Amino acid sequence: MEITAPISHIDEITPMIAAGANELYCGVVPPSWVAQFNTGAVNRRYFGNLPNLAELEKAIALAHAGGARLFLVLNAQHYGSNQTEMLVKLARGFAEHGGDAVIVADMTLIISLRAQVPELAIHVSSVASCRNSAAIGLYRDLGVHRVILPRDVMIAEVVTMAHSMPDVELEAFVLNDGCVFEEGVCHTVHLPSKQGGPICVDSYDFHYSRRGGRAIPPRVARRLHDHDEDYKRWLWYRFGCGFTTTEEGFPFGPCGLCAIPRFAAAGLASVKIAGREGATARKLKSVEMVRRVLDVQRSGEVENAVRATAVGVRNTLTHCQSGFMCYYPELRWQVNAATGNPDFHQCTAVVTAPDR
Amino acid sequence: MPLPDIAISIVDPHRLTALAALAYPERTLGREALRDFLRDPAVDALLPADAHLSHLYVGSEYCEHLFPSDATLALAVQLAERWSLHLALATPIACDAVIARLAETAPRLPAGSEVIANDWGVAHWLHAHAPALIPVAGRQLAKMIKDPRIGNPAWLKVYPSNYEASPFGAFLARLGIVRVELDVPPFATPEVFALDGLGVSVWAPYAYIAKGRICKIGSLRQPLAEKFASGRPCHHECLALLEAEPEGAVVRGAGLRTYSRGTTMFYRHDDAMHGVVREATERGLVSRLVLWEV
Repeated sequence: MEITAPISHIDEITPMIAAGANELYCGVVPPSWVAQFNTGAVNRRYFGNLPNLAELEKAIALAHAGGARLFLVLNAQHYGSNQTEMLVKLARGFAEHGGDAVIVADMTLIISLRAQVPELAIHVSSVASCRNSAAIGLYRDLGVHRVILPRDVMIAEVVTMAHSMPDVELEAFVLNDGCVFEEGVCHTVHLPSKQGGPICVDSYDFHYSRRGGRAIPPRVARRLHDHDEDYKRWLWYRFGCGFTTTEEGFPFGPCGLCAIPRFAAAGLASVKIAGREGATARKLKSVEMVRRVLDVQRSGEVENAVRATAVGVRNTLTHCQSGFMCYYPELRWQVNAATGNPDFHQCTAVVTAPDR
Repeated sequence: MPLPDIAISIVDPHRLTALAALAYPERTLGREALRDFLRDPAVDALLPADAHLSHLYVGSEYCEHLFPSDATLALAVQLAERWSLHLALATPIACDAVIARLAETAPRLPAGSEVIANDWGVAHWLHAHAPALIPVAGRQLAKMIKDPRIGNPAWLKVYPSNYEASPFGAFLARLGIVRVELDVPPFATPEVFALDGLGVSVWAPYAYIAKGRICKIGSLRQPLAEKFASGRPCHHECLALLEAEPEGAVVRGAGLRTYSRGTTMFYRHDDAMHGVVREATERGLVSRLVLWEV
């Protein structure tokens, strides 16, 4: 299982590989795109992209020199016809210079790339919200090589998909990304913070009401208030615990390290570190953290030893016990109430089928 | 003016029961009945005087926990027969368990029923396994900017609807899809709904903005350690509790009142949007209106 990590500058490539990343991904904003479409948003990000195609060429060479592969992100939810034409040209140039795969969400772009740049591998972005075997099968039939699963899938679902679609590589989130809504069905713009920022953390003054306009009893109102406070706390975790780190620089925030043994056993191709716009030091520490856990897993240690390593890297048990920092909270570290000893909690309440 | 199909979408089983209790003896439900049921002035603003209900949608596009029970589905089939309605099953983004449930449910739907697919896997499965059912591309497969906080139409031009890109029609045809469903984005013009070769349904008088899998209100009765996680048991609190900007609140950007229910945020159309929908319908760009409640 590989570590797939973000870069936003070519100077990051060599240290990221040295820290343990085998696969790198990046965006690029060609000046011709800005000139034609009057936006820098080729891939949903204004920031954290390489500035031009010359830098992209250098990035490919540097990554390959270090033994890593480089993927190009073209993952807006959707593009217009003119945009698709330009992106196909961009992808063709990327392939000609040895680029390894493009990360794509828009179905039109996937179809166009398969037809016009057949030699270039396609990875379906998490933005495509692909979280069932039938969808993976459709993408396989369209010629994609890998599917990046969205956040908020459960480990059992990942294992099911991996077993039912063994001929498509799967990649799952392991660190750093924290959207509340599903990326593929959030039709908003990350506004500047003084205009509200991401809509999921915008300061909406919502009031509760009951169906039919009935009043909310005080007892329920208090419960809702307390619940809202819990939700705010969860949001804090979701957004990187305020982008804090340990003293050693290991980042807090959404984390799936404890799931690594299950993902490895299921045959996943890679685990993904998010955060292209992040600081270089944060990215390097993220890779280092995942590498430590993967190395223990590869050494043949039992699952709990691997997870103990995962928790031990940051050594902040209160965060891990909360479950709020977990991508896959059905499996998390906590103190065993019966024995008083630290243990791994496997949530037994998880349901995987719709209610009847 | 061409008379569009008129659909009503019902998620809450109690609302389906209320629809069943409507005391209208006619064989069809007209505008008056829909106004009585929805109690929403937008019905008058949107519907021609001689409009009548043609389609009944049942199920949720936003949550796997709201997949209709067998009893709810049986009632929907019964009501569709009573009022000569076409039935449509609305489905959400799916995990494998939802598709398994769909596989159980599909044989219970009358032949020719529609399934509103909001997941390419669902559409793919329908095409392969349920040829008697008609797949429709739901709004979550239609990508467009719908951020009510933006005060100008620039983003609509930067990222036009995915259906405007040329290869899409052929791809939809491959899945047997000839109808797509759309929301009304802020600053829409009737041309937003002009899609060659595809039937277009438009939902009103609300649009969805963003949808998650994590449900805040669905965690209300969970112990703290189990809150805000996928796949936990749900007590359907979303059917009873709505979050909304209060009446008279200063709304930003496009000036649309915003709501949150369950996993999803919504906005309500303003009068200008009603006008756009009416004009698009009159010009034959929209062939179905789907009325719904948030």
